[in-house]
Amino acid sequence: MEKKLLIKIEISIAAITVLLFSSFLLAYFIQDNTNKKIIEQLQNIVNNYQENTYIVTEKAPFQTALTSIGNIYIAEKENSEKQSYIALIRIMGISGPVSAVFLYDNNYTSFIDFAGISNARSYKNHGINNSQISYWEKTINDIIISNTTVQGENNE
Amino acid sequence: MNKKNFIPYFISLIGMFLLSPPYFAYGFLLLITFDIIYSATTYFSIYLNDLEKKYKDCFLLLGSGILTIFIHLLITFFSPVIGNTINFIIFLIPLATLTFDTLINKEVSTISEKTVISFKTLGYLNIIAISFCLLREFLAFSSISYLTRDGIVAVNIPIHLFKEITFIGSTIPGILFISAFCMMLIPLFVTHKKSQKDEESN
Repeated sequence: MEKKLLIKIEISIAAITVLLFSSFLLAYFIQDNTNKKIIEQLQNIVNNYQENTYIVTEKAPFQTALTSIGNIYIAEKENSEKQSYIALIRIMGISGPVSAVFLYDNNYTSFIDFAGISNARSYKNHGINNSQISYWEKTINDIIISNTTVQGENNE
Repeated sequence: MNKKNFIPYFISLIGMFLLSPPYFAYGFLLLITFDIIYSATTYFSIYLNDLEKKYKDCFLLLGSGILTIFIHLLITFFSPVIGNTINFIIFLIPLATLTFDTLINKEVSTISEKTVISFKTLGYLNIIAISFCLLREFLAFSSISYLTRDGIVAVNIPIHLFKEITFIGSTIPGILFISAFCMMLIPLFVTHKKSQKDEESN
């Protein structure tokens, strides 16, 4: 009886381990596809904001704690040497979480739009109030400025 | 689940949907995930039936947690924005399934009974959850939404009904009101036949 139980436990541990490793593998393989899809969507949102101005290219190589709630992407602006950035951040409002898109351009970050919700009615900007938006504008601004200055110093 | 003990089931179920955005599409996605994890947990629980309860719960939570990560990755592959939005809500599901497993274990006496009662309960939970999510979106925005790879798309009724009380369906505190309303209604429908049988046996 005990031996049977031991075998069952061993099989369970093996199954959990296999599932864990397959999750890692899946995460590795879907990375490129996910990035491509997000960039495509962000490009649409930016085009709605200002047409033919920004081109979203790739994920920004910043090392921040933001990765659990969103990501920052590089956006190249036409006729400008300075890089712009686009951030996709999940914000928790009174109506639950929403993904918000912010644009960093010329040392200033502004909120553009919400991602992933089209044609929908909402309650007071999907439950996100102005103080939350201004908090994230400031935070993203600080993160991008600190990262770009560090990178610049390293390059020099 | 019967008339007397439906409240813990209902609260565990609503706990998952309470924090999700007030659109039917998100609720539906969470419900599919819940169905998969619930079924897996039930079979895993039956498989490890001889194990001591505390160790079994450990295994169940670990297994269902990793399965949730796997399903979340699949959702992210389908639509990255939706995956990003429901990133932390989806991890409430393993906790809820563990609660259901514990509650059902109290009701059943044999293993063979467990499969039947578990899936019967799952059927009831599905009906409650779908009607809850539909009612919530209809009450809030008079619309119904569906999933696409670019996020959710809502189909609106031209007239916005209940415009003055949008906050009830769309905010988290307001959903508690709907939950209280559902709690009054559910005992009228749930396992009516069983209660008749009980009366006959008595």
